[in-house]
Order: sequence, then structure tokens, then C-alpha cells
Amino acid sequence: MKYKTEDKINGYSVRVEVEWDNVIKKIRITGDFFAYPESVIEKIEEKLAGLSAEAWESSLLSRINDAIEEEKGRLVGISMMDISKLVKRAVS
Amino acid sequence: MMWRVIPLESRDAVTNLATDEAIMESVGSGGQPTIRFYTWTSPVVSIGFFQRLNDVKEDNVVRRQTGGGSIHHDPSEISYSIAAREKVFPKDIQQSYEMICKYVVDSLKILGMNPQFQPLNNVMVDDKIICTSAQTRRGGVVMQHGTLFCKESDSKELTSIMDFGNFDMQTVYHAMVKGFTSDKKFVFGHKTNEETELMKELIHSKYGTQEWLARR
Repeated sequence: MKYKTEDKINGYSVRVEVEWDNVIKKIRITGDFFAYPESVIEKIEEKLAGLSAEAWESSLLSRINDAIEEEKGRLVGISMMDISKLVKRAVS
Repeated sequence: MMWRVIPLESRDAVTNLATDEAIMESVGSGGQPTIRFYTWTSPVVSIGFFQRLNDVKEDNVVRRQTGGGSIHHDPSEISYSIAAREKVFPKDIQQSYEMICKYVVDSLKILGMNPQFQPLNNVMVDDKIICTSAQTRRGGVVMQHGTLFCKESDSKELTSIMDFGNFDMQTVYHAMVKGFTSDKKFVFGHKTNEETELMKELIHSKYGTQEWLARR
């Protein structure tokens, strides 16, 4: 199943699309926000792929955090929590 | 530190974006820190790195290497790009935007306006955006480009140089050169042959391709 949600966060549009089959098969985070380096968003998408419903609560935020740390990333205007909430909301 | 200023040139959209990236790469390999001024040969919308192509309805669209939102570019407007080693700018993202946007503020003051920087990336006059910018950092280099709206608009959010006087492009350009360089040593110069070759390569492999445009 494909799910999507979008929101305006601190003036930035953020949209999350999830292909879901009890695990995240694919996820896409799009919008008019800024992130440094830009590759951090693809890294977050990569890390969240494969996340199962069971591991949901415990691992969603930590995987986003791992991606940001690996890329030494900085999000501007949006936060890890915002992305995590949108992913949850998209699938719920 | 001696800066290079590339004088106002009119280019198509993919050439403009590829040139900014080629210069950024060049600065990363030890090339001269550079400020470039340019216009757009025809109206075009540039979308941010993270935006969906489907978010815009227009036909003439290019994708930037920088984040942020979609911008309608017009041949009447003047854009800038600035690229230098990271150590030239504050490490803090917002402070570095502020430092560069201050050059735009100074340019507009020369033209008699009362502009203000508004975080993260805008310069405002009378509470409307007159210049918006986007920055990327890679390979130890900061590159920021931005565009100064020069076409009259009836938008509630945007304003334009033309709302404050009948300025011709050369007057605005000269004010921008002054605003950007008052604290710098600089020489006017052009792209090197290497930068031109890389620019062509980036048009061919990136900015001119459907793959890049439709990547999100």
C-alpha cells in the first residue's frame, strides 16, 4: 500500500510518501526545506527502508538519528521529531 | 584573499546552475573564491533539491542543487552566486546566510531602500521578500545563490526593485557589485577553461537531463 501525508512545519512544506507492506518498502521525503549536506535526506530514506511494524516505536527515531550522525547532517526548519511524526502519520 | 568577480552575464537556466556548481568544484580544488552575477535568457522555474517535479505546473523547469522552494526567474532579474572555502563563512548555517544576505542588504541600501535580513534566507523590504537565496555546502566549500526580483509583481508576499524606482539593470548590477565587494579585494575575471569544461559536463550529465529533473 502507498500512503502519504504532508504538513507545513515552520513555514516549510514537507511531504512523506511511504510504500508499506508491514515494513517500510520505500520512503520519500520531499519539500521546500533545507538540509546539510543534502545527502542526509536520502540517507534517512535508506535507513528507514525495511523498518518493520514491530520495530516501529523503538527504531524509527533512532534510525533517523543514525542517518543524521553518519552524514554529519543538519536539518534546518524541520527536526528529526517532525520527520518521525510524519512517517507515523502517513502509515497510521 | 583576492576574490574574482564574474561580471553580469545572461545565460539559460541549465548553464547558470551548471556554472555555479563548476565554480564551487573549482573553489574546492583551490580555485579563487568567486562572486558571479547573472540573468536568465528566458522565464524559467527553478525547484529545490528536495521538491517534487509534480509540485510545479510550469513546463520550463530546472532543478537546483540547493534546497528550498520553487522560484520564478525572469530575464529582468539579477541573480548572484558566491562560492568560497567554508572557513570564510560562519559555521552556523543561519549566520552564514545572514553574512551573505547582508551583501544584498548593502546593495539595496545603495539604491536608497531600507531592506532587512529575515532568517533563514530572505531579504525583505516593507515586509515583502525582494531577494531569496539558497545555500549548499560540499567538499569544504560554501556556495550560495540568490535572486533579486526586478519584475513588478502583484504578489502579497513578494516585492521588486521596480516597486521602488525605475532602476535600469546596470544601476542595480553596479550597486550589487559594490554591496558584495566593499569589504573585499577583488578583480573582475571570467571562468577558466577547466570551469567551462566542467560546466559543459554538468549540463550534459546532470542539469540538462530528465533523470536529474525528475529525481523527486
